[in-house]
Amino acid sequence: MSKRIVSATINGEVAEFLVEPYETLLEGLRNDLGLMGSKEGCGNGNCGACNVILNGALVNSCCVLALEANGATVTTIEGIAQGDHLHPIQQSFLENAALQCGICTPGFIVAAKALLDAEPDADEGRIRHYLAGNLCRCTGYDKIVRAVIDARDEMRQPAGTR
Amino acid sequence: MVTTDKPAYKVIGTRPLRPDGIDKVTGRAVYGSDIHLPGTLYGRIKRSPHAHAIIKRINTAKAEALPGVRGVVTAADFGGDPAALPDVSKNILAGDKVLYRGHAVAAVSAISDLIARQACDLIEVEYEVLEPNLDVREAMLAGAPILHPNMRTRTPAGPSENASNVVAHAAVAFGDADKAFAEEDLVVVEIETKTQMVHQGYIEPQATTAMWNPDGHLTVWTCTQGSFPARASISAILGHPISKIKVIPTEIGGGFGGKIAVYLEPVAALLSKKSGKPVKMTMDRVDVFEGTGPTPGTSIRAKLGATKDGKLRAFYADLAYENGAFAGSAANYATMCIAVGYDIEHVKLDAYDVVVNKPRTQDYRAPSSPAAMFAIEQLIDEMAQKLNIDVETLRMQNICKPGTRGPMGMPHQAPGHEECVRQAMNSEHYKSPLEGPNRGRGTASGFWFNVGLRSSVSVTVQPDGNVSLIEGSTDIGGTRASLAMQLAETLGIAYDDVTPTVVDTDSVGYNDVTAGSRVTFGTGMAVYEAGKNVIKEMTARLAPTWQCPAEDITFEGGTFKNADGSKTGTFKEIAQAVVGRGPGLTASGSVNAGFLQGGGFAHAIVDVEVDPETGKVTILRYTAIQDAGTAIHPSYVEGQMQGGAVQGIGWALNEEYYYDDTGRMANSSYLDYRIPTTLDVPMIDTIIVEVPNPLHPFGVRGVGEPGIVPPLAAIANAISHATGVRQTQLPMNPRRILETTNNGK
Amino acid sequence: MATVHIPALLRPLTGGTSTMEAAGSTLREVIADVVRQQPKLAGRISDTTGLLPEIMVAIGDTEAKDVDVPVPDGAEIWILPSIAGG
Repeated sequence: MSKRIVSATINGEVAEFLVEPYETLLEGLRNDLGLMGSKEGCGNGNCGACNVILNGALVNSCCVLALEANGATVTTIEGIAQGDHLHPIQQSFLENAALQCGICTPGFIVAAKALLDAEPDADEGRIRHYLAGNLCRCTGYDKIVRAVIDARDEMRQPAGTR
Repeated sequence: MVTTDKPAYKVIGTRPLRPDGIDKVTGRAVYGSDIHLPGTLYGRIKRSPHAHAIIKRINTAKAEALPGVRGVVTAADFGGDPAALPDVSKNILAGDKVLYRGHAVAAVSAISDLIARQACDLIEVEYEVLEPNLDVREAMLAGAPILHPNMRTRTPAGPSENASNVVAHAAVAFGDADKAFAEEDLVVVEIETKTQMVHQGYIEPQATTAMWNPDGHLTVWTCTQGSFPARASISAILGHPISKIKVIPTEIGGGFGGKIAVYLEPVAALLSKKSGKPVKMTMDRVDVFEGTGPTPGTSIRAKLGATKDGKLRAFYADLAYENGAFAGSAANYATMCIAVGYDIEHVKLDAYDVVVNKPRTQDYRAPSSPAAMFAIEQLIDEMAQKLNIDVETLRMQNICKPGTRGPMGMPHQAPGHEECVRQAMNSEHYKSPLEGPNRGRGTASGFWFNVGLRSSVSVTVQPDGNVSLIEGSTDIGGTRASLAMQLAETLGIAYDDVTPTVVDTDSVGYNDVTAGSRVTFGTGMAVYEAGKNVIKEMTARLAPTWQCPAEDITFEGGTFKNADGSKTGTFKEIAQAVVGRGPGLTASGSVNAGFLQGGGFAHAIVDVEVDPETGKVTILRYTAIQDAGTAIHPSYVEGQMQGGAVQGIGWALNEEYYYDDTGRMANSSYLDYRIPTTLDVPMIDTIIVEVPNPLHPFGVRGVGEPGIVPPLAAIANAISHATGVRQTQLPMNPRRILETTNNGK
Repeated sequence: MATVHIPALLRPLTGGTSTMEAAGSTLREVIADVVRQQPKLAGRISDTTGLLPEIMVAIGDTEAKDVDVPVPDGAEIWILPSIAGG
């Protein structure tokens, strides 16, 4: 088997990279593009630490082949902040002390963004349901759920009143 | 909630943002597997498919012949003194026997991870398969298959005559429990509990990169709870001098005790030595479950006797703890915890450490205490029911106080147990009635030590008057923040003026593990010491300028002042003068804060609902109460309490190492092992109790561990009140609830 | 004279003895007397460089960090296995 070219829009910029046909998107992001923010906690879609947004859908990048990203738009944790402005979800995670070791944090933030972009009014029950695919072993989830609720409220305010 | 008056701190007790926060929310923080050096090779471990077998032959020829393979190692390649750390060494690469499924037998390095995995498949190992020991009580019986032919049981009467799987029998006695049970007029309750191995479940699998330079200098990047102890282990296993090994700790994606021991590091070092290239090794999740150290499964038989008016008089427990494949001292820890919460005159404990064909166990948050408290805290609940006394009232009637016999017989100094239970009783949760069918409320207490151990830090004053804090305690739960806060408090400056950095083993003095709830406590003491040394040096430099003896200069509340108060200056002003225009200033603080630091109590109130159709237990409400001494950063204290509570909830309701008859773990994925998710738990309410610790300059107690202890018994008590059936085995999953409650009907 | 409490872990070496009386004005002397009475404890509490890392010792309710600390007459001395945690 020989390597193939993947061309994708990653965090707003076109990237081309060579991948093995069996390589996962997570491996491609980390090993070929040096985007180390997506983490591998399980390698089989159980933990969500590798969450990225692929063509608008939240996916576990360890369960997607890198080749499947050809022609796609991908947002990773590295693309959530705008320049030196943290996204409200990132800011809310900091202010709510919603991270301890931090290994699950990128996945949670990407997942929360996918949720709030699609459902700006998600309530606590919906947030808990949506984030059930992301495992955290440090926090007990309390402060994570609070952080997403706070970010939701912040993001719901009309532009200009923030 | 503040329970005791404390000094008016400026920084301590506030909730600033963590210094490593932005890196962690943007994906920039560098963890174990994020290290990637040019020319890196990939290493993989060949693991045993059998739980118990003799290794007759290992043939690596085919693996070595595979194109792209750069090296193969087995235990024979370890160069250390075989007598130094023999168990650790044999656990990392098996010697003549494999003792659990997943036990490492060989390792390979190759130019790609795929080739390394393929090469592992090509290593041929010939086994003589033996019968496994999978049950702690059966392994204790005469005639059970023996794991270690040379092992003799250490007993008070001397070593056993025959080989045994029982590592040690420890007998602890205070007063005369046998006599009290026989002769006093006591109400007696008994229980027999069984718990299974559970894993720490840190989300980041073990990962390391090693680079062995031709001049013998070895550099190891790893996600560890203790870079200095890791360095010592690597040195002993490889027989390589400590001074030629540098361990660079990366960010660590959770540990909870599971990242104290080394696994991959010495192997990666050997593979690097063989190939001359950096070698990176990572575990996958199955490796983590099968090949690292969970916490022991247990079998405990206990009985408790009290007078009819509720005075606890006698307690007996027989505790058997699985050590896994190699000897540990798990049951010994349990004896130090099980009865420390109460004033009980007669206590007798028989504790057995037992080897079984499961992974060598390691510490997990308050190691050995949760299973022990699962037994005694249910007996307390049972006793309260039998005597028709409110259970918290029964606790308060017997609770330990300063001077009560504490862990291992020594008197308690300032135990916070009483204050924890008092605050629980005063809580809104406890005062709110729980209504509805199939619902029950439970309470329980927990305890774990808080150790000090050895820590070193250095503090450099920058020309602008800010300071950098160099520390060697790896940061799992926010200790860069809690240490920077203590330094800011000591120097009278703002938290933001302190920049903390965790450095490698060449760059700071010795630091023990980030474990035992010790960093905010013990390294905090080193920080305080270093801060005091900074002030001392600044005072000495200031004296000639102010034309007075250094002794006349005081430093209080962040301000230097001369004797008559005519000259004053803030820390920053003076720093800019004596450091900004003078020579550099670095001061260090090193402490041995010892072991005995009082320890910490925790308590929990939990409401559950049990679905009679499915047996599923839902946690409706949970309140965690814990003595923090002084909460440096209350949000991180809450985080420790909430995290511990949810780990305990998972342990109580769902988690277990589920083995088939051959010793194969049948649920070695997150999907099947299933730690709690957002859907499984409610918000976790917290009550921080503050009974300042007299042994720390700011009154700190370690807070990392006690919170995991109460949930097991608290939930069992709640289920028993909801269903009328006492739960004696973990996990209390739907199948077990259905089986026990149907049998009960 | 001091009363010395032996931890369960070391009682296999004392034939089950859990407390004993020992003489000495420093911890070093007391340990020497303990070892004289229970020779199998030699090297199990301290060695030439001090207390073993796996042992901690408390005199009354204060932990002794080295073997040269004074021991008051009538002191309760607790020899304990060291602990850490997760």
